[in-house]
Amino acid sequence: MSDVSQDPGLGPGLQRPPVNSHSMPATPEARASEFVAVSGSESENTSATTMLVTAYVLFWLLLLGFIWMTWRRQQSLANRLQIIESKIANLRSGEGK
Amino acid sequence: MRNRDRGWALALTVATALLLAGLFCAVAYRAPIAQAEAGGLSQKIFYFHVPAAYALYLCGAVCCGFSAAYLVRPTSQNNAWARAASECAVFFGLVVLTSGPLWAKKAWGVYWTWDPRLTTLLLSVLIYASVVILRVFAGDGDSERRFAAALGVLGTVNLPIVHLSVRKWGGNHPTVITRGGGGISPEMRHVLLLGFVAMTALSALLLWLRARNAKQHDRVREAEDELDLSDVID
Repeated sequence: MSDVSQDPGLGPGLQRPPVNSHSMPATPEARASEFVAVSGSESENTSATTMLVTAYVLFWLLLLGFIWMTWRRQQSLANRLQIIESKIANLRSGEGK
Repeated sequence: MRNRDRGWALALTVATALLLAGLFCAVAYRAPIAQAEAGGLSQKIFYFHVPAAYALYLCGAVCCGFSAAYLVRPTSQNNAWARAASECAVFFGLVVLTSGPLWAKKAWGVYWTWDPRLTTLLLSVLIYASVVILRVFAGDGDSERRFAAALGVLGTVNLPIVHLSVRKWGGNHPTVITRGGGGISPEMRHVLLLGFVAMTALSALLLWLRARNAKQHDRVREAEDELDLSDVID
């Protein structure tokens, strides 16, 4: 890069980085000309609070979903029992005649 | 339901609700924040992630016991408990598999990695899920029940491998509370213990509910079969 200066205190081969390396490049030539893949993330900046709250919300959603499925199955059994009871009542009334 | 059973069910439900509420309050107000390398604030996922994994082991043990019992003595009772335990194992497995990656993203920088414990746990949950799917879609005959019972035993055989994988093959998983680990602070230990108690109560309640449901399902099916038969005879 054009604005990198030699620093005698850093030893041979070492260069002082630009004063403001994250600022917008001064010249069109200084822009990034390629993207290189890196493994993992360079610095983890996801919010811990978001992760924690998401995990707890998912836990409650899974629990409520599981309870709801159990309740629905129980309701279906109650309906089937009602049909059985009405069939038995019909059979009994048929026997009575 | 008999009055005594109803009393037990109510007591267990109230105890579970209070324990879960207590756990979430303890996590929010009592548990300290861990170091940044462990995930910082997101490390608090640990207080229900690890107890949920323990509840998965518990349901797996119940599934293995009743599945083996069904293979020896095929009764409706053994089948109902084996079925309930496999369903609860899938539930707790999903809790572990959804909470873990969110913590891992913060602590390790990635949601998922093919760490030995993650891979073996995923395998176990998939086996229990296959038991549930088999029971739902392949009918409810004796041969299907036997096959599901054998698969239930197989799923549980994998659980000790999940537990020992960290020691045997390493990986990213922390070894804080296992042998050789650095341990946790007393405040963290109290909250974790509360988590274990809460998840034990929750697994007992869910197991009981699902097993009762499965037993009733069997009795209704038998009654329906008998009625259809008597209709044919009439």
